[in-house]
Amino acid sequence: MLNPAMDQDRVHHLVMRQGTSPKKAVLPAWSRPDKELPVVALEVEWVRFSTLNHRTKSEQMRIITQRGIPDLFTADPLGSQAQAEQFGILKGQEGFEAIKEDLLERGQQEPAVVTAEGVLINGNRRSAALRSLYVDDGVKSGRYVNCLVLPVDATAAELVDLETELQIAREFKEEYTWVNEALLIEELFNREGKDWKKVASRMHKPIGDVRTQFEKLQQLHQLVELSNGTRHHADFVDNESAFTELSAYVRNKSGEEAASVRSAYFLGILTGVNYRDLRKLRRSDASSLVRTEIASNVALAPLLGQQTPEESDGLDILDDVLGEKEPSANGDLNGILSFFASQGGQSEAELGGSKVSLPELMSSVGSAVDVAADEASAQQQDGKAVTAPVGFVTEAITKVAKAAKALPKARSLDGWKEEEYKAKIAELKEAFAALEAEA
Amino acid sequence: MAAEEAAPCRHRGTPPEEVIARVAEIIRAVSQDSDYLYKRGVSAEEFDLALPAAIEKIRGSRSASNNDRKDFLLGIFRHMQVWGAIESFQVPKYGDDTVYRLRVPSVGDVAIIQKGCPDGKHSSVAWEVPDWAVESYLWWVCPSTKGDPGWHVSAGVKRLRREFFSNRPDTLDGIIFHSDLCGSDLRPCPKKLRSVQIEGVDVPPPCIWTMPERAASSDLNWSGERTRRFPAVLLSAFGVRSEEAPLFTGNVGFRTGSREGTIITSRFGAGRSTSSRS
Repeated sequence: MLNPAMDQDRVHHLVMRQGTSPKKAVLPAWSRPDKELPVVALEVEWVRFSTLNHRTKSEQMRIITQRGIPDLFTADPLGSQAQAEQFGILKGQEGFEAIKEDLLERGQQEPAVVTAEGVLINGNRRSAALRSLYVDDGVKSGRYVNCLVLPVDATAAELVDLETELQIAREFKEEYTWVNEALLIEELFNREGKDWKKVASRMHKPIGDVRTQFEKLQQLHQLVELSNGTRHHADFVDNESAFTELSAYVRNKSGEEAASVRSAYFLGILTGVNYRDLRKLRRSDASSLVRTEIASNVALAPLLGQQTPEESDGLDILDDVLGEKEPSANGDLNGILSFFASQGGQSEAELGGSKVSLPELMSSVGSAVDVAADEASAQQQDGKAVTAPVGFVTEAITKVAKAAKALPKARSLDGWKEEEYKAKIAELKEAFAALEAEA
Repeated sequence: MAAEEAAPCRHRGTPPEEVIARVAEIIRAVSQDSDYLYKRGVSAEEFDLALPAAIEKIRGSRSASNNDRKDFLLGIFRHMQVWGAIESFQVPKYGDDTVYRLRVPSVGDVAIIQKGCPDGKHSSVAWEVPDWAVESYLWWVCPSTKGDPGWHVSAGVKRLRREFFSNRPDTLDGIIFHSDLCGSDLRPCPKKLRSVQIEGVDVPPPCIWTMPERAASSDLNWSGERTRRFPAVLLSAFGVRSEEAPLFTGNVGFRTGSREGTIITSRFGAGRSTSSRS
């Protein structure tokens, strides 16, 4: 259904662009049952800023007074003058340069939200920052902004609801991440005499759920403690899946295996490895695989020569966190973890006599962890290959036994085909002879 | 681990895949709009027939010609000569395969086989190592922004793997991916601090990878065990000291048997590397 209040040329342009984009993403704050919306890369000079943004109200009032145009932002909100003024307001807001720097370094992390005619409901400041990068600074990466596109029949009331929900979601995210929830559970656990029933009741959640959150938090405590004050609990809000899988895996494992998997996971989490890849490292030799990968890469090998916690007075916390190990234990990642822990928020690190950008170093180590995970996966395939013949023969024996048991009854029934059966037996004998010949 | 991870850089500001698909769709729509075509003096049938040649014409006028690629490499070789990394170089004659012969002090004659983008039979399969070469390198002068550089390198290595395990007698010592786009806004280079001025342009050190040697082993150059002499020579012209050269030299590794696979590891300084495994 067309919304006549919208600029139909713009609506049509956006519809055509969506037609070729296979990408979709969920917008939980959207009020309709179908929350999956198309994601489209739009030219940053094409999208329009919302002039109804309450965060820019006071600046708009000042501009209206200065220009002497009372309806500057209402007569033609998508027109060039209103848009240029709005862009200027957004550029002048506090923190704008920091947003630009972040976008330059990390790129756009979350899509903006636009109406069907390309007006930004969410992501005005980020889009302005990208436009400034592209237009003012000539940075090519600022050319496109990824946007979720709302349906063309979205009503004004739905848009207001969405803006409110997005605002609440922002506040909720700050106050109630999984980390905050787990911290609350921990507090209740200690306050309620370590009684899980009471904690679960207070949280209105099953016991299993609150225990899981608590266990995840214990892993997170260890990583934060390990980082020696350079990382905080809130830094790991986006790593919930990795902590969920790590805590579930180490629950009933030996201390040595738990320490090995934990240190591989910690290194992976710190260096941005996806939790799906880390899954492949849930095995006793996880840290050994990672260490081998780093050792074989001449650009990263000097990391293994970093001071280990046993040699460092200030970082003996690693023993408490990862369990005591022999200094020369094969697969020990403590030295590397302590190296990252000791950087204290620096942008550069000293490695093998060279200054190295810390984010680049972490990304490189992340790539090595990725390769180690792939190696683990390849080895697992090998393991399956080793046991496959015996497994298949065992399966065949079981099925032959079942066939023998079923045969008398089958022969007594109408429709039994003795010739077909004999042909299959002959085929089976041939297959068996071929198998014996392989041996 | 995505193919893009094979190289350390990404393209920036290029139209996304869906926009390219949309342009293709527009061309298809135009080809079916006989009224529109008729008004412009072309029949629908003519349009269909002429389209491939027209695209070729646009490509020819927009993409780098063989001469552009040649000029780029000659600039680098002249710089290497001035720097003292090579004694001399021979330019191939017109009509010959574009293979340069570089005389390297205390190494011998090194062959540089110039090619376009790796994702093509001509660029990754149609080459021949000259018998005079002590080391031979395929140099992909690829200015395409169709995919990220790692994607191109990965596509080329995939073809080279088939060549490596074929019956052909010759093998390469290494591959190079470097063009005049490297270090520009569209293809920012993480090695830009090591750039040198060549004919007035800042040129970063090329991305270079050693290739495996044929051997009776299931692990071939998997961790970059094979050392070659030319990478350090090339990198020296960009101020990379010989002891640093391994930190700027990547490797292509092949595995055979039950754990068959390919790894492409790029190195771009101490503590800086990225790998793609397939």
